[in-house]
Parts: sequence; structure tokens; C-alpha cells
Amino acid sequence: MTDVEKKLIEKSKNGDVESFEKLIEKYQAIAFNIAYRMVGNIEDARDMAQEAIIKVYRSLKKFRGDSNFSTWFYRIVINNCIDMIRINNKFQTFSIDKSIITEEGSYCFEMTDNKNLPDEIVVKKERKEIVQGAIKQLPEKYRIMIVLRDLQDFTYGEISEITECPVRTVKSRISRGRLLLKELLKKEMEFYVEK
Amino acid sequence: MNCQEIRGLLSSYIDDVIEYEMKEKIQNHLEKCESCKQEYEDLVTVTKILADVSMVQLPEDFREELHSKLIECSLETDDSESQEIIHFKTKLKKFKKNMFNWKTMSWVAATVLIMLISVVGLRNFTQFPIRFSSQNQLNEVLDGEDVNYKMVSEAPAVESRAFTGVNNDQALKTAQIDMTERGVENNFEEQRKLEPSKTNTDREVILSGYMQLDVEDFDIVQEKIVNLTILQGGYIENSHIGFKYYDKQKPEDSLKTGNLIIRIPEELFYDTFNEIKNMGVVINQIINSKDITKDYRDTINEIENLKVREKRLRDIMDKAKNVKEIIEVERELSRVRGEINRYTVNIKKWDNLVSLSTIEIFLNEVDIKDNNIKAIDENIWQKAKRGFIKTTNNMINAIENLFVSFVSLLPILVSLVILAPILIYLYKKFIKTLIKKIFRRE
Repeated sequence: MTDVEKKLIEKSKNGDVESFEKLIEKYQAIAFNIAYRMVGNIEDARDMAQEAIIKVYRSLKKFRGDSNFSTWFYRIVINNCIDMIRINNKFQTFSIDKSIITEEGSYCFEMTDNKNLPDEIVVKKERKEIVQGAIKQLPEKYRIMIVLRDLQDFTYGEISEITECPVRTVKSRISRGRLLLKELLKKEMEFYVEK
Repeated sequence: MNCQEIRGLLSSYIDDVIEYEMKEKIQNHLEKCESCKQEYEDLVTVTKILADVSMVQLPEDFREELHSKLIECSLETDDSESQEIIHFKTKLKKFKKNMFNWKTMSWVAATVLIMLISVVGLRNFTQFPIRFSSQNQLNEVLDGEDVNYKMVSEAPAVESRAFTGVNNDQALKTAQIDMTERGVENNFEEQRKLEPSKTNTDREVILSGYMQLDVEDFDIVQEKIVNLTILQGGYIENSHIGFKYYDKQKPEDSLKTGNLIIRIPEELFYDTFNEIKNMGVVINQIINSKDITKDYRDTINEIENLKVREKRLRDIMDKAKNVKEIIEVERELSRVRGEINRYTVNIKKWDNLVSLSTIEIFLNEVDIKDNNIKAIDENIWQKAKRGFIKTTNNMINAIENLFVSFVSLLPILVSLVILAPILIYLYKKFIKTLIKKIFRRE
């Protein structure tokens, strides 16, 4: 944490809104993106991000300065996203253990059919929708990891601190999340190609 | 390394957070294994697709909206704090200015009077319920004794129970009288170590015991019980063990509970029972002795009678002359034999139950933390507990009394409510003059 940041934090604790806004200036875009990727639409993401930032403002007094401000900040954002999502129940989760039923028949997650991912076929704009749709189908705990790692490029150490999970949990969740995402993308691609 | 394991590590390999030794192994495997290599390339594609996903722009009014919300938020806290301070200061000023105003003095006097009345009224009310509760305790004791008197007058060949609980109150202590069929009375204190009073071999008694035990280490106690059972020459009839709550993160800390039903030779019943009691903290124990002598004897007599009958039937059969008579006698004979079998089975069952008594043990594993509390000196803890219970009771009494006095004061409150408009009108008049006085002095 830089000295500038420390000063801004002190001022914000005393109620100085401008200092607080300066403090979170570089983090709010990322926070918004995290929220957007977790939920899938702009409106909800905006509400969640703003609520999270206000929560940060309110709990500034509890911030002890022993961890990074950014880590603490993102932790609150993510927890807020999870809470709000649970309340609104907007998750469409995808169970790993149940078998996936497609038109051809059902298959279990464990088996991978070695088809190539046809990323050349898809136009960029549609691809974003497909990807976002696939991400939205991930179960919560994998979604967080994928969003933080592959979309926002946090390091494993940072992710471990933000989510308060040990690094091995982070590793395994990222691994399973990616595998799951690969299957989801394949499924989405199939639907798209058929269109 | 098999493919399954390799695939689990591929992600870490791609992100280069894999341990160095693993890295080489994975590289080697990928060179050899086509399917894993394909998997690896797919994963790389996935990460690339995700990396391509660009950041979304903040909506235009995001910052402004956030700003206004933050301002609101900061004002809330400021507002409430400063408001209170101002409020308090004005109150203080008012109070100082009006200290020697006789009108306020009269208000003060009035409130003091009301408080005195309410305190005196409460005191009157509080005295009764305490008497009531001690009365109740007394009744309980009497009731308990009544019940036991009834038990004495009942026929001797009847089930008798000795029920003892560890968390007993004073009232129940005196009501605990152990009635065994043999007519021996034990007091609660003496029951610490249960002993059979007269062992006699003439009566057929089915002994069964039940206890609920809190233990620190489930596995050790369970093993001890099993060993003890086998040592005493008995066997385990039933064992049911499960976790109270299985904590995946710390399986060693998960607490277990279980049910054990063991059979012990009758003469070793009490010894075994007491030994098991010492393995933990007894929450609950029941000893049940069922005297089936009468039924047993009756059944044996019945069997004797039936056997005689069988013999007679055989004699008749020898004398039978034609087939018809033989068939009838056979029918009767098989009926009689069937009954003999039935009774014999019963006898055998009873023999089994009598010679081997049953002890059912319910084990409950508790955290050592809980037991530390018991490690403290028992006397002090019991006193503290009693004091706590006492004050809680008093609190409940006080609240009850408050409610009672509130309801009884309702007529006064109702008339106050009727008078309120008049009072408010007068009050307002006086406030105006007060304000004028304040302004004059400032």
C-alpha cells in the first residue's frame, strides 16, 4: 500500500467522500467488470458494484491496514456479489455429476470427446455472448475463480487472499472450472453451429 | 502418472504455478499421450478465448450515481451524530435555566411520587409469587412421595424402575426412591454405586439397563465397552454409529454418536453397568428388572400338563383299533405337540433373556471444551449454577410482576389518557411562557 493510498484511506475514514472516490478510482472499473461477469447483465452489475462500494465506504473503519486495500476491497465486492446473487437466485447452475442430456443422448462430464474447439468458425461479437452465456452457467465457486483468474488476471496468491481460500483450493477450482467451461463452450458452439 | 491425474494438473501447468518436479513429468507425458495433449490444447484455447474477452466500459452515469449515493451515506452518519449533540446541548441549556423554576420543580416532584408509588406497589406484588413457587416445590415433593407409596402397595410381580438423572433439582432429590422387586429401598446418594441386594436363583428376572453417556473420545470408549463385554463373557447384539455432524474440512474433529446394545451374563450385570458408567459422564440411566417368574412357572406347568396329555394320547393310540380312530388321535397329538413347541420356544427365549441381561448404551461424543467446565471444582460450579438459576427466576418474576402491575395500573393510565388533551393544552401554554423567559435571559 502506498503512502498516498494510506492518506486517502485516513481521509475517507473521516467522511471525506472526494478522497474516497480518488481512492477507488482505479478499482471501480474492475469491480464493475467482475460484477458484470458474475451476473451477466449491466443493470444488475451496476447495482451490485455500487452497493459493494458503498459497503466498502461504510466498513472503512474496520479496515485495519494489515492487508492490501485492493485485496480487501475486492473481497467485499465479491462477497457482495455472491450475497446478492443468492438472494435474487439468478444462478442457473450446472451440476457436474449429473449427466448432460443433448439431442444425441446423454453423456457424463468425466468423458471428454476429443473434438476440437472451433474457435475460428465463430464471429467475434457472437463469441462474446457465447462465452458470457457459458460463464453464467458455471457454479458459483468456479465462476468466481475463472472471472478473477482468466478474465481479470489476478495471480493465484491474490485470488487466495481475496477469496480467503487456500491456494490448493484455488488451483483445483480453476482447473475444474476450466474443464467445465470447455464442455459448456462445446455445447454452446454446437447449438450455434446448428443455427 | 495416469491421465486422470495429469489432467487435474494441466491448469496449473498452463499458468506455470506447478511444482518444478511435476513440470517435467507432465511435459514427458504430453509428448507421449495424444489424448492428454489434445486436452491440454483445448484448455489453452479456453484460456485464450477468455483472455480475449475485453473489459466492459463503466456506464456513463455510474460515477455520478455512486457519488450521490456516497454523499447520502456520509450525510446520514454526520447528520445523526451532530443532531444528537445539538439536541443534547439545548436540553442541557433548558435544564440549567429552569432549575429553580417552581413549575418544573412541581413536575419533578410529581414524577418522583409516581416512581415511589410504583416501587412500593411492585414490592407488594413480588412477595406473593415467591411464596407460590416454594409452595409448588413442596407440592412436587409430596406428589413424588405419593407415587412411591402407590408403588409399594402394588403386586410384587411387576416391573420396577429406578430412574436417576444427573441434572436434578432439590425437589426431585427426595422423591427418588429405588424400588426393586425385592423390596430394598435406596436413597439417591447411595445410588452412586448400584449393587444387587439379594442374588437369588429362584426367581426369573430379566435385567435391562439403559444409559446415556457423554464421552470425550468415542472410539476409545467404544473399544473399551466391546472388550469389557467380551471379557465378561457376553456379546454385542447391536451397534449403530454415526457422525453427529461430519465436518469435511476437519474429519478428526467430527463428533460421533452411537448406540450399543450388549448382552452380559446376569450375575455380572451390575458390575459391568457400573464400569461402563465410569467411562464417561452419565447423563441418563435407567435400570429395568422384569420379574417373569410367575409366567415362567405357569408356562413350565403348562408344558408338563401337555406332555402328560401327549403320553396319554400315545397310550390311546396303541389301543386304537381302526384307521379312523388313529387319524383322530394323530390330529390331537400333533396339536398338542405344536403347543408344547410354542411354549418351549417361549421358555428358551426367556432363558436367553434372563441369563444374559441387556445393556443399551447411547454414546455421545462431546468436545473437550465442554468437559473443561466440569473439571472445575464441582461445588463452586453447582453453587454458581444455582445462583444463576435463582436470579433468572427472580428476573422472570420481576417481569411478570411488572406486567401485572401495569395491567392493574391501567385504570389510572386510562384516566390519564382522558386527561391528556387538557394537560397538553396547559403544558403548551406553560412552554410558551418558558420560551419567552429563556429568550429574555439570553
